[in-house]
Amino acid sequence: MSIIKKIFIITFFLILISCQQDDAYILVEPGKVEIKKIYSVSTNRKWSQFQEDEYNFLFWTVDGYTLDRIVFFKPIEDGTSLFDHDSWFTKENKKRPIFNSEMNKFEIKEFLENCIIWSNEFTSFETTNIENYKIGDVEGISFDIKAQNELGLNYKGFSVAGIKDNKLYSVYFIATEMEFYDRYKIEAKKIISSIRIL
Amino acid sequence: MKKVFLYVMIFFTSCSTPIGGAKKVEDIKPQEKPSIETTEAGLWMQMNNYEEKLKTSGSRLKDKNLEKYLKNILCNLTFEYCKDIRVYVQDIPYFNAFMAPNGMMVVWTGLLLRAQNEAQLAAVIGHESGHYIKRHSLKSWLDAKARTDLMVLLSIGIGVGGVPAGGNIFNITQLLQAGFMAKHSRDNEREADKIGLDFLIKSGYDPREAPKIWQNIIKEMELGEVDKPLAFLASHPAPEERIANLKKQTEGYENIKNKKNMKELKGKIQQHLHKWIKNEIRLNNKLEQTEFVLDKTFEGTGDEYLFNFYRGEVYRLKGDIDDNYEKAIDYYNKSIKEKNDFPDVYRELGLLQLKNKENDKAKKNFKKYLEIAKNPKDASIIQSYIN
Repeated sequence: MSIIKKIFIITFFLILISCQQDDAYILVEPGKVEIKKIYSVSTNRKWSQFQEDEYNFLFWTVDGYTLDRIVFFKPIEDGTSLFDHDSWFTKENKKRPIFNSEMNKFEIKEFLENCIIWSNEFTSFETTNIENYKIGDVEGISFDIKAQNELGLNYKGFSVAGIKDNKLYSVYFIATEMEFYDRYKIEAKKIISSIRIL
Repeated sequence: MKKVFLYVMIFFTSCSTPIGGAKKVEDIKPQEKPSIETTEAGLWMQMNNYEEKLKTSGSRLKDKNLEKYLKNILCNLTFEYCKDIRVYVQDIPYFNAFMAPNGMMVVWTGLLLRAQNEAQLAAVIGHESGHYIKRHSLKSWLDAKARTDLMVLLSIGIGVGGVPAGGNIFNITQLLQAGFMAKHSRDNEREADKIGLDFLIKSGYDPREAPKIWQNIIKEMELGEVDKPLAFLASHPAPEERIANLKKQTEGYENIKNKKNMKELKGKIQQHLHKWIKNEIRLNNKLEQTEFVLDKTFEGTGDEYLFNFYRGEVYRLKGDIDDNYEKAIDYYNKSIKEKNDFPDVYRELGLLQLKNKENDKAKKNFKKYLEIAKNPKDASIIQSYIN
């Protein structure tokens, strides 16, 4: 086979690969949106939705995951953890926090906090201002988040969670304290307050 | 071609000198810096880069007073090298401290939680300073170079040099340990122990505290999972031998009443204690192991109410198995007996009593919580449990 032929075939395959659609991200248009038949939410603006079947969550972002995001967790059952994907954990996998549907509201907050810390994404992760909160007709909680990552970047956010049919539903918004939290907090609050569990 | 490249690399590595042509590695002198053409200068450069990242890292504990306090301990131990060694605190809940060849000393919060007094902490700081003074990292590097093949050596070099900007600090630290700590020979460890102990005695600290910190760590390790030793022990050989050596060296000081400074250390870490203990509990180690850490943390402090409260927390967080909730309730009640105006214990006690269907007792404790805590942020939730 001539060199020109080889180059042509390689180029053809490269073009083919580059044209392939990235299924991980899809565009979310303003309006009422159903998320994986788990949540229904309303948004006034466009978001990019990241989804991969192997993850226990999907998220919406405008400027990128590390700058701002709303994370929607799939419901978890007794005896499981928030992050089931093993790559999030080290060899101490067996020690990860485990959900129990008998948890009271404080324990739900504690569980979510422990899971995020366990994921090692932030070097510090603190929750405050826990309050009663209703996700539609589901009794739950809301709380505020303060975090910092390895690079020293500060984050702020808030979360809601509740137990329905022995399963934990949870959603949180987080963004860099500098610039992005203030830019999206009002919209994120509206979105989170519009959540209904399907 | 590959062979030529290999020979060229071997030639270049064999030409480099450790500290500017000297065959024997001498102690580093105060304020001495390696010459630019040396291997040591290369190690310093890599560690300087790492140190710059550590300065703004999210894992660095932002407590200037605590770092200043540790620096003061160092300067009391060795005034000569005070300017050369910088001490940083990293918020990682394991027992560890390490010394980089450029004078960057890092102490983890898990070690600060476990040190029972300033003398024990000074023993570790003195020991790490000994590694710096004796240029143990450089010796380890040269030793590794002499023993390993070129490609392994190159991969270590690339690994240490290639610390990623946004990388995980646990991996970086493991890398550092792998590169510098784990390779310390027994002789180097003994040497650092001796220097640390000399510093301790010279500075008026009780030298008998030095073996105690190692004894506690061994005990803790035995109570936990012995197949996974604590980071510091994994890289420091023969702890039993170390204790025996340290005890032997301190025999002549039995009647000397030197300072321990427990209050000073506890005072400096007081504001972080709650968070560090929470992180310790989060490690989800064996009950006996966590209880031992709490036992040693609060020994002699007089804070029995906190000690019992956190013991209750350990059992509560283990879940409703093996009478854990009953034990937690017992510890909460003991805490209240010691101090009856600590609000958190009433809330936790009430929540567990609610689980046990002891509603009246729970309501009483919730009311007490609201009364003492004065408009807590979680009042609406507690109030809903009362109603």
